[in-house]
Amino acid sequence: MPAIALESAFINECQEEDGTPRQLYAPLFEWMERAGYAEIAERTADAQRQAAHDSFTFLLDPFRFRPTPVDLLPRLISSAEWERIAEGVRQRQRALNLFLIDLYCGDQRIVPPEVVYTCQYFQPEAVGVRPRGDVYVHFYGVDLVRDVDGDFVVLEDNLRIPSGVTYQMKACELAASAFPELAAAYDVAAYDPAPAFRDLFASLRVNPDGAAVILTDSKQGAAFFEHRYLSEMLGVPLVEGQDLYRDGSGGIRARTLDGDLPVDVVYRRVEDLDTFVPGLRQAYKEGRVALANAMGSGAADDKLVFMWVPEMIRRYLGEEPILRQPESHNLLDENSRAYVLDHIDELVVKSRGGYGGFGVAIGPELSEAELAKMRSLLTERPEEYIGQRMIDFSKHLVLDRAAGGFAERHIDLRVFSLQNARGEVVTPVGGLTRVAPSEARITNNSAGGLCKPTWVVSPG
Amino acid sequence: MTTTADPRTLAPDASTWLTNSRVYNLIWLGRWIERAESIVRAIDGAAIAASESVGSAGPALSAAAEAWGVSVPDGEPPLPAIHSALRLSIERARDNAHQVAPLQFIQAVNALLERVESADPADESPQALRDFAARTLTDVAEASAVIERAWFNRQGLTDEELVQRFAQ
Repeated sequence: MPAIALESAFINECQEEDGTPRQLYAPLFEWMERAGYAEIAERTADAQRQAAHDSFTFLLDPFRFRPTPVDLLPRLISSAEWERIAEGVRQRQRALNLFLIDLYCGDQRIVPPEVVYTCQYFQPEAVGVRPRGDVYVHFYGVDLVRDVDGDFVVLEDNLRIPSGVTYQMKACELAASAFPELAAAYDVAAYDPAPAFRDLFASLRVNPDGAAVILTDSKQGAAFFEHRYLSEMLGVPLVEGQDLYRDGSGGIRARTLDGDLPVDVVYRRVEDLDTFVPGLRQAYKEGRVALANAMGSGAADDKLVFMWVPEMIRRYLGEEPILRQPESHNLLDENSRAYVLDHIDELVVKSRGGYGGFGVAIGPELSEAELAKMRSLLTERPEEYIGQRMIDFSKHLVLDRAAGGFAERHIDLRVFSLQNARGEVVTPVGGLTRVAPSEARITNNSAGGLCKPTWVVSPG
Repeated sequence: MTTTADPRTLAPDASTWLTNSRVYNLIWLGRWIERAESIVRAIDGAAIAASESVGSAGPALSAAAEAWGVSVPDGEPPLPAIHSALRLSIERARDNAHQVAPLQFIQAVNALLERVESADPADESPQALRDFAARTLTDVAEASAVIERAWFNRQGLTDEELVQRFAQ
């Protein structure tokens, strides 16, 4: 049995505390025992060669080609547990959308003004602009971890340009082709977000002659693979800023060899709209084009606004939050700031607008000098940071080729969810599991993390 | 032949829009593949010359390197520099392919790159060079056929329609 010695304090999702496989993982362990490390390693290497052949990349740019590192041992989630996760994600997405409507078109009173108006991504020019169907958050990604109690808790919301949906698709495809007999041992739900994307674009269209497009920052962008993959999968043109312009009537058109063609929906994978397409913001404000996600959505992506999401759920939906989230501390509040400065060596400090794993300081991992520097930073610029309780989150088995065996690594789960212009929310079954490097807790690809397929499985 | 057809009658569906950026990348993709193919043909030509004269391929390869603007360090054999230029051309083609091409084409270019990277740039024997050239030219032809099918025949245009479309 390829079980490994468990480290205390962390839940291992594959094994019980005594090292025996958890019930859901029993077929996987039996298969690992039959196949053996060498066979699994060889098939993984073959799959990674295939990934390189398919240009399955992250951080692609003209000067660097890096296939996305993938660990193909699947992370398993039972369908019953998944239902609860999905319900919690949908609840959260609805509440965040209602918050944004209230913020830009209503009289928002949940998040204090000194917090909301200092959000890096709050956009004053979006005030009073109603998006089609009153939906801001068309595509939502939420990062979850499993805590020591075994529950999934929310670490952060991603409402600007969440990426990874195709990384999960690709990781699942590679795992199923590398380990077909393992896939056959489980009843795995297919991960297929394509119908929800198509429905989203169709629901946003008001001009029958206008097309939906994906606006990319081109191959210089870290997640360019995803833009290309989605374009090919959905049959939606991939366009760069230079391809679009605002015409004399105020609408958006694409320059093509076959003439200038009208565009009605822009699924934007860029932040600075007008840098890429001058006039695109104005066209959106005039209702000439739909943007997914809508302008201003980033205000709800802020890591301090995150503190008030449970309250949004209670006030807007009249429900109790299904998913818990860690206790957070607003450094703009004097008492909270004093608490964080006193307990900084136990807490996680995050930059409010940070992303990609950057701008996160984990108190227990900092040296005395680093803690002193962090204290001075928080005292000087409290409005830019948030303090959060540290969560000891779960680990999973991964193939450790350097050590020639299996190892434990921290993992999280990014779940994606789509809301169409009719307000219906669809959460494709599954999500992207990200694996932190050895001895680390940050799982983002840009911080050296791996992708891992997530299989939602029904009990056999 | 008329070139005044209404382009909209020949326009493909949105998934195959030939946007500014796609056309730009298609052009450069073609140029880099063309350069790669020319370098491989030059290697093949040098190998033929060497086998006919029962001599070394070195002088013919040096001439080929000069013809294709490949810089060879003084005193060094030309083949590694030619290989390096070939690999760079295919990497550049792949950069453009990422922007425009279907997955099948990207796979074909990556296969081509893998072949070039796995070749021994020190083996100047005419037979090795001819074998390498033959296999690489097959890969180039396969990659080109994919892009031809994907971008120029996808809508089932006749040759005349194709000319009309691109002559607007």
